[in-house]
Amino acid sequence: MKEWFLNTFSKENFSNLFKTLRYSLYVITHPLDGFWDLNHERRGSVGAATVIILMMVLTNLLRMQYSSFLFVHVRWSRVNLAIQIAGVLAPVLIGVVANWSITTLMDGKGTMKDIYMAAGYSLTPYVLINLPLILLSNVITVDEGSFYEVFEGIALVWVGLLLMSAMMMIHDYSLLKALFAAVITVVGMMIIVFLILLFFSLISDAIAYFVSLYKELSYRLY
Amino acid sequence: MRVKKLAVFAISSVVLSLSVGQFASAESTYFTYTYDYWDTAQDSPDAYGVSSNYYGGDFGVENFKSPQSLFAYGNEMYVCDTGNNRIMVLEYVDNKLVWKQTIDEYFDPKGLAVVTKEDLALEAEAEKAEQESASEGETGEEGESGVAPEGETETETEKEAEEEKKEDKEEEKEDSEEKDSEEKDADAEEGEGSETAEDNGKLHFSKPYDVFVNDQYIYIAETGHYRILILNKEDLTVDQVIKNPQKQDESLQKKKFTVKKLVVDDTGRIYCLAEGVNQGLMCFDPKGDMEKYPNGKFTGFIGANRVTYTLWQRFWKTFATRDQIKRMINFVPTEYNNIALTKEGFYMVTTDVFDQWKMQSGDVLPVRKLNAMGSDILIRNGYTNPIGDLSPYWGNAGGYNGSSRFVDCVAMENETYYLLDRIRGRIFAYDSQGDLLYAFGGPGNKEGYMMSPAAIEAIGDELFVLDSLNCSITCYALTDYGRLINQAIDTYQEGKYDESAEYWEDVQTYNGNYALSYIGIGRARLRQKDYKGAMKNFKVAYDFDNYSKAFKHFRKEWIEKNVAWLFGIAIVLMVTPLAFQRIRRFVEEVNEVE
Repeated sequence: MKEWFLNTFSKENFSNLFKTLRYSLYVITHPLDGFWDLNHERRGSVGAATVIILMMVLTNLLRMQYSSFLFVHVRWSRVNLAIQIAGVLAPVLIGVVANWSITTLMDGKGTMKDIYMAAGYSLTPYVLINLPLILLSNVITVDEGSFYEVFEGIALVWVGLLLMSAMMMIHDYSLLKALFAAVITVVGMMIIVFLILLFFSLISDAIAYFVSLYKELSYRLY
Repeated sequence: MRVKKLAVFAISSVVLSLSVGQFASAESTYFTYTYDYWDTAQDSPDAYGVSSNYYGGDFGVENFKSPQSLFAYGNEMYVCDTGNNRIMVLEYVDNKLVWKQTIDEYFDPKGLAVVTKEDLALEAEAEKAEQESASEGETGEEGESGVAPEGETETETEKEAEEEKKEDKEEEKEDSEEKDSEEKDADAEEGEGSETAEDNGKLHFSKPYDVFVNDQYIYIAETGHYRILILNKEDLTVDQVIKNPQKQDESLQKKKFTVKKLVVDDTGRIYCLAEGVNQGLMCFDPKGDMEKYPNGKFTGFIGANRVTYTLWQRFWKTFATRDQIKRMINFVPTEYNNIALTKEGFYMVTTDVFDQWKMQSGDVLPVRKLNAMGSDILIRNGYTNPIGDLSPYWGNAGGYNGSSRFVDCVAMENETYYLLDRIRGRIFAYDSQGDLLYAFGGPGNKEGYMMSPAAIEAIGDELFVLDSLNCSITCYALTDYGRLINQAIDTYQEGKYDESAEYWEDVQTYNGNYALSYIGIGRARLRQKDYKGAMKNFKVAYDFDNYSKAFKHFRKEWIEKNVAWLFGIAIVLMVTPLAFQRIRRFVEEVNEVE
């Protein structure tokens, strides 16, 4: 146990994580090259991708709390922390699974690990832009709100472009095929969500059935 | 024994619950509320309470019968008692309505109001056209031929049609009763035409629907004879009759001139709404050209509702069969259903047939303020447009569902206005900026609630609501809370901003959950240059624009105050890297030398 702990949190691992995290800055400025090297040259790491995704969760929470109320309208009486966190994590994870399921059928070269890493690295601009935006939102007025919106838009477009180039590089797709795969991935995500909902509603029905059976029996036998 | 005990328990519990109910109603609250930024209804103290309630019998005359309209002139209240063919004049003295006069007959010494053969011919023509259009749409509902509900979804149309069928039936009954008396009238007119001069031409109204009064004349929309009567106020003699605009405008041909609502401006021009006319307000200049148009010069329409339909609807229409098109939403502008005059001489108009789901986006505007050009100048700066209840509260509750549908509007001295909702019997108060002040009332026949509200009027601050089903007038008077709000608004409009803030602070002692009070205080703070205080108040009320205004000042002040620091930091940030570079170079040089 102790050994495992020391091995995992060793100095080398930390320096490796730091190095791979720093690599994300290269990836977002040189997407095609960067995503190719990400898995082919092993310059990225799952740990770094996880850190970026967690940073995104944190960014969203900070954004709600510290952005000016002019730009982010939060109804605090209705906020649920778990849902806020899941609201970021679930799309990413479902997207990764859906993309993997689709691309294995469309002879994509990437493994689940590659896809996850690429997704994580693609989200870097979102964190890098939205964190400073929180500060900016507190020094501008509604009239200057277009600055805020423009930056928000840049973040989204950037992330989108990165996701596309990641798809091309990891699976070795052409642009058209990558676009097609992206559309199918969105459909796949919907199907997964539908299946999850179906599963839960069936499970809850089943549980309700057994609970009522138990109640009925207990009334009879009592 | 057990059964007996149970029975006693049941009875006593019923009795107890009943008495509890009575206590609850004795508390007398009229369900006053406002909407917050999140479209949630927030309870509010009562701004208006019922001060008195009147039936026709309370004035020593026969009870009202489906009264349709109220009009306040000075402290006089004119009640248009349509079912009884009379107009009641009441006076508001010492916080009480008292009977003053009953106008149920008028005099026509000059024979102006005689129904001529031409009138009857035009009427018959219109009748024929109506029947033809009715037989054309055999499959369609009856309602469509009458007051066609336009711009509605299908289901609603059906419901409305049912409602209207009922109304139609009631009206038919009335009509048949009416016809008898009308025939008699007609007989009297025709048979004793020569004698009219002798008995001074005494005549009776036929279904007066709306009334307007100024210092000289009484204007009456007489739907039974399809005309507007202008009577001299002094002796109730006919001054002029406005009728047969069909002769002056082609678009009105083959339509009856059934005037439902009318107002008159300071110059004596009449603006009216007629049934089945959807081009906007009809304007008449009664004395415009007496020689050519003895029955009033029709000067045109203003403020038509524009037709809105999307590209998608257009696309579908090209594919639909004729039958489907007939069933689709009619692409016809909707009619207004009421009109009120503001103190500046603008016209507040309401409409109640529309697609409710287009309201919150602003595609449908149930209330408008028209200027003389007919363009809408109502200010809509509130959280939502003035549309009454908001969509989270449109669900079916006890048979009342859908959005609010306004039937009348009254504009007050301080530019606030009150809208009367016929669906839930509520009154919505908005200020000049379009913020909801409060809403109150509800459906039912409890005190302060309404069955079928038809008209609202105001004398001073008191509101009078006419219930056409209950046949009663309810008078609402301001409470202390409502008075404080009014004082805060009045003082703000007079430019006494600080005083206004003090009133708003008093309002907050009654209702700390009232967004407008925070905005009011914030405005005063802004003027006092207490920007931080202003920002705090605006933030509570989610007033983004005013917050930004205050914040801009605050930011400017802050920068001016800290400009030295800012410069200092900037210089340090610029100088340090340079200094480091120097030092590094120096060290390198030293190393090289060594």
